[in-house]
Amino acid sequence: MSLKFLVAMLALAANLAAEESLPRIKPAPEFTLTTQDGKRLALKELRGKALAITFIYASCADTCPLLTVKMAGIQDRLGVVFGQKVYFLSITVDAEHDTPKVLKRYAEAHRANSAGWAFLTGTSAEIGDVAKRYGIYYKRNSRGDIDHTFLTSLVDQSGTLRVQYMGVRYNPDEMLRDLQSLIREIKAR
Amino acid sequence: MSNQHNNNGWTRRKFLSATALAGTGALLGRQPQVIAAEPPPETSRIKLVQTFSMCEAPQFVAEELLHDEGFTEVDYVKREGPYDIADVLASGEVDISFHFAARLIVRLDRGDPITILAGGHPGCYELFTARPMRTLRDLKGGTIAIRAVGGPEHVFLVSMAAYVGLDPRKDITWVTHPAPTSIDLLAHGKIDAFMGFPPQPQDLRARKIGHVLVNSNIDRPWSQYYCCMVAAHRPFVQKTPIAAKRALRAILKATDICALQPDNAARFLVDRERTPRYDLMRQVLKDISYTKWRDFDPEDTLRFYALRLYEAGMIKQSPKQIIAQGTDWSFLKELKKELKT
Repeated sequence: MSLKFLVAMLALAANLAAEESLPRIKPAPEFTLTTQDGKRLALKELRGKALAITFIYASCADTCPLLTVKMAGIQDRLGVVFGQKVYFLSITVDAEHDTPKVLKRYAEAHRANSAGWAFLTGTSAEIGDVAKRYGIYYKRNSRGDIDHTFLTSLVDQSGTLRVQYMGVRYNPDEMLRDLQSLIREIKAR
Repeated sequence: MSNQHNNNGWTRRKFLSATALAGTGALLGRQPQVIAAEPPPETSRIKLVQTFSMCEAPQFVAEELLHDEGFTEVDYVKREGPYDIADVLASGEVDISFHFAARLIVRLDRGDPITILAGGHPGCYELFTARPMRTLRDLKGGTIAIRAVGGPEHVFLVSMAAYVGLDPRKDITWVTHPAPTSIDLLAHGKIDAFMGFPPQPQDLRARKIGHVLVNSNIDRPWSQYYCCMVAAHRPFVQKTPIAAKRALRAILKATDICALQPDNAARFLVDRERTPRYDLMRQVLKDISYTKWRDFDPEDTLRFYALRLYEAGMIKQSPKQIIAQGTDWSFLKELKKELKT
């Protein structure tokens, strides 16, 4: 086998790998919010990690728990890289009721590993701004629940939005694969 | 140092440098896949259309998402009904819009500057008959009310008639009326059939008028093809491709929201005064298969309708020519990787 042929094959393999990498959509909108531990956390502090950003609220009785349980499953499957290379951010859309204390209880109830998963709150204006910039619509309905769009965004180590999952019925295997793809990019740097 | 050169004249340094470049595709003369994030749109203004039709709901749910994509001005050009959409797409009064596939084919055949970018959803239309009928062929010799010859429902009915072997020019009597008049005539048995478009089917069912002969969301083959597709004014796509992709992204994302969260989408549309009727809007969003935008092959839809319209003598070009001149799937392919469910 000639060296040129070998190089061409390597090039082809590398090229296919590059084609399979996730698209680069745009810089993820920046924000600074308050964690369940009462600390301020800015998105840019998490550079170098692959992020999954989603929107929930603690008293949501139907769909949010499904989403959080699904993410908790992915957290477990990521193993030791969770927290080191992957970080989850669950942002409340109920700034009025979801204090850090409420979110801490919610996090514990869902076995969220605080080394790699922050539940974020803020003022109504801060939450409104973040939700708007991530394309989340939310509104309290007549029953007192909050109707909101379900959207989970994956952001890479450089702060670029790479893929978005609509709804809560997405395949967790697929999200795990996408996160692992972002982890490989971190390792390749 | 002896192994720095080999028989092919390739040095180790060259080898390493070549393999390092391999990831960028340089050896194959291709552009790197890993590129910077997408630049902002070339224009800050985007124009869409607003008609009474509710199946275009994703265009309105997309309003905030379009702002998020960098469009500071999101304008909705008001027109009476879906029959006007092809005109405003062709003229450039509107940049991008949902529209019925078969009607787009007719306009492409005429040479209008329209580019189809993606499939949208199957199943807007329902064919209501005054008395119970078993098959489409039972309409032979019947009278069908349409708004205008060449309008979307006429084009759809022509393709349906051709599919079951009827000659739409000889076997059906077409009468033109505004939709409310047609519904009244149907209720009184003075016409044989009427093709309803959301919210008309939901309204007719609620009022128990007529009998559904074909529900294009359920009945094959119609349910297997897109009804509405996303199309754009061709110069908009050619001159501002980033804006076109961003607009399509917002619309397809909104389509997912309509599919996965119809309650929220309906509430949003009521809040924005796009419709006064929450229950009806919610029912439309639940009735239409908005999840399908990423499932079907959009070219299959164009082939299917183009063949029917060709058989019926409504177009002169072949499906292959229509697809070649009137489609661009490059954005759709990219967006399928970005937006997952």
